[in-house]
Amino acid sequence: MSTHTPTIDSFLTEVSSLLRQKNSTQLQDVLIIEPPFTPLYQQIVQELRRAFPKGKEDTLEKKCSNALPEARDGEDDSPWTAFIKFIVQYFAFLRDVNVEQLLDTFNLLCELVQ
Amino acid sequence: MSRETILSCARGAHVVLRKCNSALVHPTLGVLILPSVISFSRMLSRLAIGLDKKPELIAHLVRGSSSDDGAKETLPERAANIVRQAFVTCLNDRASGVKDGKPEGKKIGIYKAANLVLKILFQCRKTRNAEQIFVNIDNQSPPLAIYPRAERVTYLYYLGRYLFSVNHFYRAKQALQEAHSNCRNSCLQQKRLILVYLIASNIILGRFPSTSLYQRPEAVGLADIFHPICKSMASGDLVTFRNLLSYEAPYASWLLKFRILLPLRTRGEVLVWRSLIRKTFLINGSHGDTTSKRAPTVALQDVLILYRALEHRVDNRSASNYIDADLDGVTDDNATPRESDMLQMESIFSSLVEQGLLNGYISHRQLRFAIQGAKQKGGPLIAGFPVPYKVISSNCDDHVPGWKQQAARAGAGQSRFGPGMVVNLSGARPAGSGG
Repeated sequence: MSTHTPTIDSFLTEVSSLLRQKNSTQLQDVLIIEPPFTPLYQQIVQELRRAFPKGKEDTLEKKCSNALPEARDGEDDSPWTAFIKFIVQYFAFLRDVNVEQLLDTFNLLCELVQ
Repeated sequence: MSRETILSCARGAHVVLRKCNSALVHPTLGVLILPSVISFSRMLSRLAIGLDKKPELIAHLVRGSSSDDGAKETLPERAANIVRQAFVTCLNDRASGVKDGKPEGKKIGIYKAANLVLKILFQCRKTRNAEQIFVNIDNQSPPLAIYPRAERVTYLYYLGRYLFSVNHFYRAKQALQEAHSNCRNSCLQQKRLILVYLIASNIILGRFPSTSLYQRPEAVGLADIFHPICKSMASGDLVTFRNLLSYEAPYASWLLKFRILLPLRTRGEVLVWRSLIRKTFLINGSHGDTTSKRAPTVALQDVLILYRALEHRVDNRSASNYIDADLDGVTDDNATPRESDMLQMESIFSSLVEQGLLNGYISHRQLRFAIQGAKQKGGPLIAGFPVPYKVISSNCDDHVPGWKQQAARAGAGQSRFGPGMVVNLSGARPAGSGG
């Protein structure tokens, strides 16, 4: 199993830099949860499925914790581990939900809501 | 597309938002994730409402997971509860507040999150659960006025609809009026929706739409529905009123869709009775005599006769329309229609007097209603039949629970004067300046 995950790494670097800048708006733009997902996210899904399949969440959490010192150390002696746990869950969502079919789901549901 | 995709997506989104909510709690850094919480909540609300409108997609899963207690929360309710956590976190945040007349920090998210919870609850017909949101906001929120216009309009729309559903029509009107005035003209669909409930509230309060209101772009077609109802109410035409608001009426399904048919029917009938009595007085009432101090009166019997005549017309119409298959061919021994008696008439009169819609008293011995104060008020009609809207509004104050007007005071939720209370003197004038 390859642990080479360049897209995930650069994604985490981006998140880390946004935390440092305290840029909440751009953080929202990066943490996409509904389609359309750009090819970059498809790549993240591929890497997640390959390097961090179900059951490997602990390893994924360690990776995130290392890559996001802003959250790990927090502020005023108060670490922000909840953010790391959230990022892990976000990755798990991308990995487990069938992203290809998600668009159809959304189109259907959004039509209903209109 | 597989059903599992939808459900796994919904479940996944639930878990992600829960984690996101936990991250939001951090006292200083939590605010960084607020925009993401709102966008995830928006997605979750769309998903929940979509699934609620298409229950067959998850019917097999719901069946499989239901427990014996029967009190399981539905998928939309679960979604609403998760978004509600975000709302509570924003509301309870102590680190942020109001700066330069604008909300800051997590307080920015209060009405964004509240509106999403309300959207889910209203679309999925769980309006009762909305009460807690309004109570929380009333206790702790900064004033609504400092939030963006779109959030204010949406929030007041839901507040108005909630108040309408719990029969607080005057308060509903207050909230909906503000929502309607502030809603941009470009948002025609939303403005129309607000207007439907605003008109319904006002009709129940005895205030009917003007021709110019019906001519507004968001009011296209509404005159066809509401104008005949208002006309029958003003003229005391009980037959037409009941026909227009029966389940067989041409617009019944439209009115039912907005859930305003029954409130209009039950609340509106009170005002039809007022008009009917007024009309009877005009036709056959004794207008009194100021010199002999005889009060203007109307006989209850006259109103009863008029009512019976109208009711028979209704009975005859409905009888000719429909015979249940089980009763077809059965002869009715007691074929006389139900007749309202004098006791019912007295009860209706006293109820109207009690509500202030008639001004006077009933002589039980003479079975006549006597109008009080005709001389002082300038005529029996003005004195005996006060304008309903004026009567109702004089019994209500302008405070609308859930519509935060002033800043929350620390500690106490009460608005009494007392030690430690901050008194806003910005509108005060120097002593002796008059006014």
